[in-house]
Amino acid sequence: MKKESLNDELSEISPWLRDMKRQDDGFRVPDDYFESLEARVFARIEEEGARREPVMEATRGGKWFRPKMMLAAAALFVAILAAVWLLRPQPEVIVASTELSDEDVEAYVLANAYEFEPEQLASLQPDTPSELPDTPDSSTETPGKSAAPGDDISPEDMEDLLNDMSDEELEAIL
Amino acid sequence: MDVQISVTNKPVVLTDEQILEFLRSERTFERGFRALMSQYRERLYWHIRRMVVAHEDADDVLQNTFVKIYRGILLFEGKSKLYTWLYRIATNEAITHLQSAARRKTASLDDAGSLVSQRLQADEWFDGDAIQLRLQQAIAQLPDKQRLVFNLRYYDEMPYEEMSAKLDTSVGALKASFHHASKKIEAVFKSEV
Repeated sequence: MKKESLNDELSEISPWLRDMKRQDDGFRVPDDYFESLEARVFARIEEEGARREPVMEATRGGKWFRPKMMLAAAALFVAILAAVWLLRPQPEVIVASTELSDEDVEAYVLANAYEFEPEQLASLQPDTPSELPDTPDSSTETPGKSAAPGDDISPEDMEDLLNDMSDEELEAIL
Repeated sequence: MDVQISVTNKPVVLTDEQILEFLRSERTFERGFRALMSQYRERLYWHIRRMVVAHEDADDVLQNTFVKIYRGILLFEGKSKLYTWLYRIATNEAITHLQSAARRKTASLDDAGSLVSQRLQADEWFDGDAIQLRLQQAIAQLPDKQRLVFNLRYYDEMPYEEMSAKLDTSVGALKASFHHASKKIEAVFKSEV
């Protein structure tokens, strides 16, 4: 779109104003007004104690690189890190096996027999008489009480017994 | 603006980028600010003068404007031209001055034009004839924003596109405002004949 000149525009809107513009408008300024302005402005700055934003040397990133903004950003970052650290999920405590008692170990083995091979279970020689029934049909008796205290079962016998038992039977015993 | 290197005592004209470069360093800040004042003082003065009319008021507003620029120049983000930013500060200071003067006189804002007209008549730095005085009085009767648009177009011959960027108003609205202001001024003037 062609830019309309002011003269053309006024000719259309108000020829009278167009003609008035050609005349002196009557506004004057004192001699040397503009030359002396600088000194008066600095005097006013001094008088009012005008502070200005500190110059950030060698920074051209605009307002985001001023000292206050950078400190605020750093503080925010630290606060976020602290919050993440404090609210992190706590890891489960793993107790070293060396701190477990024999009873604890035995209880664990009995509760998690599936995790062990028959050979491994057979190698475990309990101090007390075996708690396993002689046969699967001995269900009326409480498991583990059929063997007389003090009887020893060899690892080979134990392995045979375990191999003869189904998972369900073993689970029922445990 | 082109860079002019002078070996005489004539002021050196700097580009806006050069001025801002000086302002970014503590060592050269004052030099940059002096260059800014030197290059923009007249344009800002006449812009302010057209609004407040009296020279003493224009001088006061212009000094306030430069003090504000001194304080906040490093907040200039470069999203607009430097003069546009300076201009907005000057305009706000002029309008604040007019509203403050109206409040001091316990007059409504609608009477601000009358106050400006009175100031013009008392201003020793206005020596226009009766016709020019009546013209300024008619312009002073316009609402602040409309008077601003009229002055920018009529006296500064600012293109509407540039005015739109400075005033954040559409070109169409500015054209309509200027046309309306022109008609109003002519009507007021001729009604007093």
